[in-house]
Amino acid sequence: MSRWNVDSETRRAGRVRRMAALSAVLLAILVLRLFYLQVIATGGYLSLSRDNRFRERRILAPRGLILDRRGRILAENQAACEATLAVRVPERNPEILPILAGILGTDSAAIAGHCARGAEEGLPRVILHRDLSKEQILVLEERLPALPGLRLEDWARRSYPQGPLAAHLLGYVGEVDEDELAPAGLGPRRYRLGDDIGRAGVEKVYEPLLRGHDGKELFLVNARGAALETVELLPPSAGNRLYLTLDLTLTACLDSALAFWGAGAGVVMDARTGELLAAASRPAFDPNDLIGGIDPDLWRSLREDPARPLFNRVTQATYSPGSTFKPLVALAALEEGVVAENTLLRPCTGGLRLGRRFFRCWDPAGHGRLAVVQAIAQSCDVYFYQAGEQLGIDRMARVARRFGLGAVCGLDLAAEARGLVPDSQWYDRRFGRGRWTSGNVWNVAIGQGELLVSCLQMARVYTALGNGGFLPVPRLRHHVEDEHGEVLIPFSPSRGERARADAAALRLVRAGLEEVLHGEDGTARGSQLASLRTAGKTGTVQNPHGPEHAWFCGYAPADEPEIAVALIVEHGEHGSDIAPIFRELVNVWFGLGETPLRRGPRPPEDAPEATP
Amino acid sequence: MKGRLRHGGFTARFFLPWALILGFGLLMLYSVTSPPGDFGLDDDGSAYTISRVFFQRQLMWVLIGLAAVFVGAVIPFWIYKDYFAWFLYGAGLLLLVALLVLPPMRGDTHRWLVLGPMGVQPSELFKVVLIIMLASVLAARRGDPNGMRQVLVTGLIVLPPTLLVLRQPDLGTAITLLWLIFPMMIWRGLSLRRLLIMTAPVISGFIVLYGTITSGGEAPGPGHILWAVFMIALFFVSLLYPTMSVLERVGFYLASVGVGLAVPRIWSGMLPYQQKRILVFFDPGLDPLGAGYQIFQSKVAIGSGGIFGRGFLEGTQKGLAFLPARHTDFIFSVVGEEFGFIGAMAVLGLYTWLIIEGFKLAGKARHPFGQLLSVGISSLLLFHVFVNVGMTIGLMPVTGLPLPGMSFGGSVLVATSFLIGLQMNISRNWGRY
Repeated sequence: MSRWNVDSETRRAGRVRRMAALSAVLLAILVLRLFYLQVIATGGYLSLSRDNRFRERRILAPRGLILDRRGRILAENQAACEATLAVRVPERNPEILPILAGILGTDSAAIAGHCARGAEEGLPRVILHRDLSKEQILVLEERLPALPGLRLEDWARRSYPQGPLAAHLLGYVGEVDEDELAPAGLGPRRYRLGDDIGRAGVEKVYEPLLRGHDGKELFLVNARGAALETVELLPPSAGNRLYLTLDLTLTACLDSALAFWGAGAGVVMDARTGELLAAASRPAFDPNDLIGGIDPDLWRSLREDPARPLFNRVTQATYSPGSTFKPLVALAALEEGVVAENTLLRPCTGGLRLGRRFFRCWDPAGHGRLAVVQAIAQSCDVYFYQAGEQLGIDRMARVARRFGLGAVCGLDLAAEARGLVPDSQWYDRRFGRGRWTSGNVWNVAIGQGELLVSCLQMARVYTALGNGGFLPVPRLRHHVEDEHGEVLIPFSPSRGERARADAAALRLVRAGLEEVLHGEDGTARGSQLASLRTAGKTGTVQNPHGPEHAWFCGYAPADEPEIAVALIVEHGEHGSDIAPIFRELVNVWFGLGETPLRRGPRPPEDAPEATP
Repeated sequence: MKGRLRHGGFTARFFLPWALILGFGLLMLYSVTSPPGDFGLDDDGSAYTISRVFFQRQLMWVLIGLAAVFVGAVIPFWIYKDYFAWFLYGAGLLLLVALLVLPPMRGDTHRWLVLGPMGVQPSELFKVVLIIMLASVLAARRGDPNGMRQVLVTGLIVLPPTLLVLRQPDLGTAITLLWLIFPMMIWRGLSLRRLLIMTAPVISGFIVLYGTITSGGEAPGPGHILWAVFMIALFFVSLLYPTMSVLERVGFYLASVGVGLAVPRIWSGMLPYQQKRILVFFDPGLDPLGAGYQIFQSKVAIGSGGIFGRGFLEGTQKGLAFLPARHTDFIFSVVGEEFGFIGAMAVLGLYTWLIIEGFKLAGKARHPFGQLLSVGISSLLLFHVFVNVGMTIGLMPVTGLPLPGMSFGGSVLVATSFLIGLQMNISRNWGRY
């Protein structure tokens, strides 16, 4: 035997140790790794094993209802059914596409294209149809076993049972898109792609109150993703119920009147608290059409319609106030001592000359010499040219601002227009110092020219005139209840800030406003009520785009008003023509039961003068 | 030194751990084939459960395995030496060739030999044959264990079956066959430095491949620095190893340099799918739906077991079928999930016991044939345990090597049982032969 075959005991013992050491090293590596996995990092793997086994499903919470002040529903949720399809269907089961297309009224190529786009975005499923009809649901359910990859899912569709009524105030909801999720701070916690979110109006302003808290269901799945059993169920909680200050009946009355006239806006305000009892803007749209994916053609036609149906004429449109501004001029003139109760200014002969220009009164026959009450009642332009001239632009601007013009009212609705109250500084900026004349001042004195107000602002002005100078913050929210009916935010009426107004002067102005309806020569005497004394003022505004706009603002009852009203009808021609709307609103609100007046244009009485 | 029958007939040192491993394996297979119980069934049936039939078949295989232990233990092991070893080797090679020539008998690979109701993996049986063959040849050789002749002879024995198995294709088993050379030659006296010099070209290739993959094939990355360090170290080892001829040392050194330079070119010449296959082999995470998925799920199962495990039959990952191949290659994941770190240690402890006993036996056996047999058997077990368990915990690529004695499958079980029987045989006769 050679030396290689007869190894010594010690040499072999050394080799055994070497082999044992190799085994020990390799096994120690395994032990260390197992120690790491099972002792140190076990928590992470435990939660991974949970993720493996459990899937979470979100249960959408219904959005809160919106109701009128008496609990009548303005916005609710309706069960709807959508059809979703797995994006792989066109490649795996192309044979079902024509069947689906037939039922849904599209074509196979459109469905396949939709799936392809969804797959590109990494979505597992795409929505084929958001709102299936009852017939479609029946047919699809029956054929469901033969339509792999199709799923019918219930969802709550926002619905506005009153249709276009108060649509501009209620707004509508839309689906959250990717751009909104991150920067708007909505966060992935509460919103996910495709969730409803308030897009306009109250739906938008009160989004946090209306949105419910989604629930979730945790269920066990196997490796194939098949659901086995529910492990945990967290029920959703519905959004809160929002009661608005609006009264549905009164709003419907206002809305139908405006709809008759075509375009315009109206506000009925509680003259003590500023609550909006009714508000309407016409032309309007049906928010139901905008839910669940807006039809692009419809959306374009709404946006491009020259009548601008999406435009909220209550808060966003501004107009010259016309003669409805005169009570403020009268008030300022009385307060400043420019005129007194019985001061007679130069007589009205159908107009007044300023240098080489002739400023006409609406009544070419002339009003003669009038004191302030009759000047308001008959809306004599000549009287107010003189009052305005003596007051000057700045004192007129001051009284306008005191009553909230030129500033937002603070209504709980987004995007209010401020309007414009011009003063001498503004004119200097606009035309240059000394480049503007008394003509501009005269125009403002009769509510024309550069002065711009919104319907909501005018309702607030007449609220303050009626209630002795309190300028409440207008509001739409009455109170909020949670889903169980517990009051979450109580109703808290407030009279608001008191606008500084001299009591004696205000009394005279209010007498003039009462004369408008109840005086022999009042411009709206045709719209008086037999059983309740009311007060108001007509206004007619010249307008370069066509016939004059008509205003009517007022309040009732005349001595201690409960409601104040502002109405603007585009191209309504004469303020007195729309005064019957005021009469009818008061009639309805106080339940007087008087016969409504015949609708329609009335003989002219209050035409504007014309200035360049 | 007559120590004959010192430990009595069947030696508990080998039989006891092996019997415990087999028993534990049956327990795990029972768990894996249990219906998912509380978890309910899949809505389209229970196709994802593993049938109880697998447990029953394994029970049968364990009985056959015990018989194989007996056969291995009672037939005097020295009859396998020399002529019989050559005969086994030749017959085994023929079987492997026949397997490649015949159409695939199960699946689309040439791994299985199907005889009636029985399926056998000849490559598993060939591990036994190769151990016997190498032990026989190495024990008979009188020459210098560090000489080129010795290396060439061993290489010529191992290479043909390795290539045949690689063609099946079964990469894991092929690597296992190659692995057997090293412990057995080292036992025979091969110096580690010599081994380093001779395997240097392969190591060099792997380091450069690693560097090429990690650096994207462009600028020198950490892999290239590692290669430079390796080549410098190899230079000094070659220099300071005078028993090897200068020609050989220079040859191996130049071969290492050549492989190192060639690998990046070969890599960039490969098609993307070929590159990907290699990448996934090294990092299964690159293929999250295939090998990566298996490794991930296995790690989740083992990691979630914690220290004490979820308890017997309580594993959720195996119960809900997240674990792939949980009755075969990934049986250890079920051990880890249901019995935790404690259970995993127990199983590794049993294997360690068995392996160390084998090496100790090699130290005691009188004849080199017995020594080499025992070294080969223990090394084979060590390799299987390290690669299989390493795979389930994400340390090793997915190669499909079973855990002997626990994974479902008859061939491995019977072959390994026979080898354990051989060790008992050697242990019984260590003084005599």
